[in-house]
Amino acid sequence: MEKTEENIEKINIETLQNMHPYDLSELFLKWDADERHVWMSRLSSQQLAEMFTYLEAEIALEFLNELDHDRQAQLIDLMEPDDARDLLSEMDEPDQEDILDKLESQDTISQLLSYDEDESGAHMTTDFVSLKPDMDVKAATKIVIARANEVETISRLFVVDEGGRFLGTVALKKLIKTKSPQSIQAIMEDYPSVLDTDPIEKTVHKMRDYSAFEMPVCNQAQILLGMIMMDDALDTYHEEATEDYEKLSALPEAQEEEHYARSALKRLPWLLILLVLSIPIAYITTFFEEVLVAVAVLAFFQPLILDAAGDVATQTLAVTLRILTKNPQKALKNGVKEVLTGVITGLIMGASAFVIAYFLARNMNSAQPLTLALVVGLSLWVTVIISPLLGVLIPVGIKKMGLDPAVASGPFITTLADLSSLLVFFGLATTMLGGV
Amino acid sequence: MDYEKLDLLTKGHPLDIARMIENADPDQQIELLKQLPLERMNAVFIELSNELALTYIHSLSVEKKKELLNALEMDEVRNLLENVDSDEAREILPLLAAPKRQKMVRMLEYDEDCAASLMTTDFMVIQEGTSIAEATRNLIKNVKDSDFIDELFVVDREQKYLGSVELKNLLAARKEDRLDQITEGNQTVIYEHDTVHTAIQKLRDYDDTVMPVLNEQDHLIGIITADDILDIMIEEYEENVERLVAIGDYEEDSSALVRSKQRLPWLLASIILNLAIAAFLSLFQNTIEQITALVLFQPMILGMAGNIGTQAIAVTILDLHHDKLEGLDETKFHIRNEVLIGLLNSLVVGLFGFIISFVFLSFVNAGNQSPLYLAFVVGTSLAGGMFVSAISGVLIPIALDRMKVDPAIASGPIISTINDLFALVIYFAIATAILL
Repeated sequence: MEKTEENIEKINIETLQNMHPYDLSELFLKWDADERHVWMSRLSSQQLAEMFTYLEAEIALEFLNELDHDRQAQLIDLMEPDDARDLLSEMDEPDQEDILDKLESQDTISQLLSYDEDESGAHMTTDFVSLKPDMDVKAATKIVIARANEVETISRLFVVDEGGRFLGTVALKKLIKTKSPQSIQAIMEDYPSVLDTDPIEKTVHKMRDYSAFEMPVCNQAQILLGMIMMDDALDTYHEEATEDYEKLSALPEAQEEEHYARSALKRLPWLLILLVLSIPIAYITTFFEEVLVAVAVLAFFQPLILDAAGDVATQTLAVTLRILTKNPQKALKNGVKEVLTGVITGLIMGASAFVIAYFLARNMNSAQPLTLALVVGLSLWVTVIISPLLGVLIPVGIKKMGLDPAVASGPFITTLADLSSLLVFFGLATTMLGGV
Repeated sequence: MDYEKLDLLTKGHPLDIARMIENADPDQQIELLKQLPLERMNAVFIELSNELALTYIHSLSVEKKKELLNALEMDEVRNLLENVDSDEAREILPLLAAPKRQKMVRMLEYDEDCAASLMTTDFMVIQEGTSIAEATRNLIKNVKDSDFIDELFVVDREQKYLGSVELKNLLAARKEDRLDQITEGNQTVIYEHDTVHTAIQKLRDYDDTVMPVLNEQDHLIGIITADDILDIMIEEYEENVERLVAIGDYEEDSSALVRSKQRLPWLLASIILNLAIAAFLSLFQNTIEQITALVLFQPMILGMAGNIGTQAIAVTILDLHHDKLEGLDETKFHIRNEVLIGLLNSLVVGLFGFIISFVFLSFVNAGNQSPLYLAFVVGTSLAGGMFVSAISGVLIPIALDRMKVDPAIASGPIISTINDLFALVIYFAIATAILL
């Protein structure tokens, strides 16, 4: 306790008050519960609320729980709706209900909570200035100025009709330069919008394409519900991209500074699943025992076929996952191109492998070096054509079932590609070499 | 021209206009562009493909060229200059007005990794001590279409950066307020020679939409906006995935032939390496001829070594990418952690592999080997192969990064093939020692 007080004496309250909320949040992470307690009572609610939005939701919740529910609700009310939603969605059911009841912004937050994490609606802010098309620019400017403090940005204003349907936008630059009398209608521009149920990743890509600092979110009936802001888009994109990258490598979601045994345990399930999946491969191989006994050196060419199958399958998988987030309709057309790519690369790969394998087989004193090399080359070609099919059909199939296609991780596809490629390899070997 | 097109040209979003023009008849494209009023033209121009943009520029008279170039945002002019050959750049540069030209020459000198290469110089500056009313008047009078005005930047008489004012606070301020009351001084800044990475990190951490760029004397020389950062983030993530699976610079509409050409080098390299492995493994020809059952588990051992390696590589590359491994201590900690995770999981998977293959061999007749011994060989080789692969998955990306080579190469087919070699040597060596 003494040590804590000493530390607190060193930190000047004024420095903290002038600090950027992000820097403040970094300090909170370093403090212990006593220090946090002291500062939470001394800093302004506004500053605390902002600071909490810079912490990871789980950690923010841990700190928030050091306060009573009334105070929690008070702070959450000061946050932007999408940040408040993030926090509440992490809470246990009874806590969530209790705090939600105490919120002034209860309706907005409940609305945001009704969306899935992946939907654009969950990330929108519901504070924005809307104008009516028949307003005069002067009246509109007054409204903007009066409401400026309640919203995140006013550089673009949103025009809706009487029923709240989204019509277009007016840039503030244009509004302040236009002389009255002139109606909003006359200076309004078309502007893209997204649906509240659109996947957030798609929305972020749209914001990128249009260089939009704010993207209007509408429901099916074109009623304007809110905005996705650029800073939230950046954060969301960063999270999603990291997650997808992890999934592609069969990694569980990483937590910062975790004990290694815990990380190991989390990565284990995928490894064990993949281990079990490789048993069918061993089982299938037993059917080809005859040819394996006769031509044991086939074993040495097996890694070549397996590697090529896995490499090509993951290449197509990565490409397909990207298309699925951007333009799902094109996934199959892209798949055709991938298979064609396989035909071309496979031909060249197969031909080179054939030549090298021939000399190798002669060195290994194989009885039929030419046929053996032909088996290797041909299997390679066929494999490189089949594997992209898996890389397309499996993620597309998973998506059709309504699941996240990224669960088809690279290692999973690779194992399936292994299985199919071995069937080809040993099958061809039995047909062509089996009679030895 | 039909009515719909005309409507789009007058009030559509610039990106939609650009897309419509790109899709129009080639001989109509320039005609359509010339119909656009200048203030729309510059917004549309930046969305055009390089090819069409250049054709359009060439079609203009010198006067019109000047007009267009001077209306463009500085970072767009730079993009244009970087995409044309040096002769054309020499032709375009003199068309810029003198102050813009000087700025542009300076901007072109920045390295691509340098944060300043992302900056634009279109923003509004307020002199310290200006009254609120005058600042607002200046804004309305001087704002250009290309200016970023969500925040305005306050400088002192020597151009030293003091802080920023949010547009909404400026407009909402009362006449008697002073500028310094609404100026925020704790904003994050970027220095001229910071890396692009630092800029991305800061903007994301501080949830900003804009950051001022300062030189060493703290003079304000430009701003970096979030839309450009989002662009870079998406590009970087996509590049990371492209490298992880070695597919080169993937474009959705590139043909199968282009894709083949991009992917072949790595795939062929992997094939040649694999065949070299086959040649090397022929040392164990005697072993494999006597114990054909070894082939059954080869895919399992290769696959599992590959999987644990992929996990280690992906974690390491993500950490490197997020600048978490800058210091020696963090690096040591990361390596220690990953080695321990690799060790634990190799042992556990090895043990399971032993059990599964023992059960499997007890049911499936695979030659006259003792199932127990063979399963033991499989289990130990699994553990050994996986451990080696996990270690190289951590060390190789870090080593490459320290050597200033892009660590994502590590994940390419080459490393996995080298890991295969180790895994198989371990496998066959243990088998020879125990079973023969």
